[in-house]
Amino acid sequence: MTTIGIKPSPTSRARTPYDDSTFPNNLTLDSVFSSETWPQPTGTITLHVVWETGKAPVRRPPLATTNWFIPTLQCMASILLTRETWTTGGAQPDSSAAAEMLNLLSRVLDGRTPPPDVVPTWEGGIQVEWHRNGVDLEIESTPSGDVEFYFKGPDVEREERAWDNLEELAVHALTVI
Amino acid sequence: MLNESETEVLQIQEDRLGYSWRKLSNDHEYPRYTSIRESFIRELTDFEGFFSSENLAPLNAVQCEVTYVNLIPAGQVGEHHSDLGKILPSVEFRRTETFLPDPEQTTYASQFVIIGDSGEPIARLYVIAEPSFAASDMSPIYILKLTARGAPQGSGMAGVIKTLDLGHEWIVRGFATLTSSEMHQAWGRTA
Repeated sequence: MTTIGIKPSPTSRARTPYDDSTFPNNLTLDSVFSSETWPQPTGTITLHVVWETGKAPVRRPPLATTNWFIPTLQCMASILLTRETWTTGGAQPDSSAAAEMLNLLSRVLDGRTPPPDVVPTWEGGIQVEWHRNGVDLEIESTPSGDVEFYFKGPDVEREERAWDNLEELAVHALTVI
Repeated sequence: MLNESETEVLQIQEDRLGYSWRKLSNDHEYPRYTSIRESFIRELTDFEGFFSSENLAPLNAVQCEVTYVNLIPAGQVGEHHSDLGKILPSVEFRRTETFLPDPEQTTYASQFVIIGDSGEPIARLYVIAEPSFAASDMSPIYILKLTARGAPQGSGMAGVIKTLDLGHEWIVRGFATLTSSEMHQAWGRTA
């Protein structure tokens, strides 16, 4: 059997910097033409716009404008700067644990979230907690870099690693507003 | 979503928004592109407003397209499709010998690179004509579809609209170039 093949011109796609085959043309006109109504359309004009997919990042308000950031920062600074008062037992508070906590909170808290209570932990970490609206939410950041949360609501009780469950934690955090 | 007269269709999915006007009867005149453009801008603006109100990042458009579709009668019920060359002269079947009869059906597909103001290729115009049958009586028809597709020529709504406008111009001028003068008269020189 003889097969004659024609290779597409290698320059045909290279001529344009925009590869419009990147995005599947998956908003079909089928629903435009095969309406349940009658008669069948005999012509259409359609305008489309396609945007980047993936989870749309939440546009967070500036931290300084949130209800929780400044009070939380002040509490943490107070804990870290008054080490001498924290020598009755346990390890000294660790600044990296506090930084990790602030990093996490900036990802999951709504700007309206009230400031949490901030307490040092025995191991030298930082814990923030809310006990309001009938729920308990506690987040602990350890000197080793782990962050875990505990949530107890009317119908659910959860204890999970925070960075692996950001969306869930963000949902729980909304309940304390 | 349909409007009351069911001539306008709004489609939204995870990665795109489409606004369509459709001709449901011969009484419906093709609207001017500018009116469709205004409706599209209104819908897209509303959609962007929703994203903003929900504190979501603004839409980052990566592709725009304009599509015109016409269903063109191509014979009576029970007949073969008439020569596509009557619609698109460049594909007229020329008998150079007597062996082959007229084709039963013909399909046409071309793509053209759209050049921008700077002389750089920025998008493409796709033209497809394929045989089909009318849903109403199964009479032969050709579906002529012209699609201009490219990346936004700039940021935000202005970039989207600039590409759509350019695509519309290429569709109208491409249609006039490719189709026969008889078709121009039949359609009032509208794409």
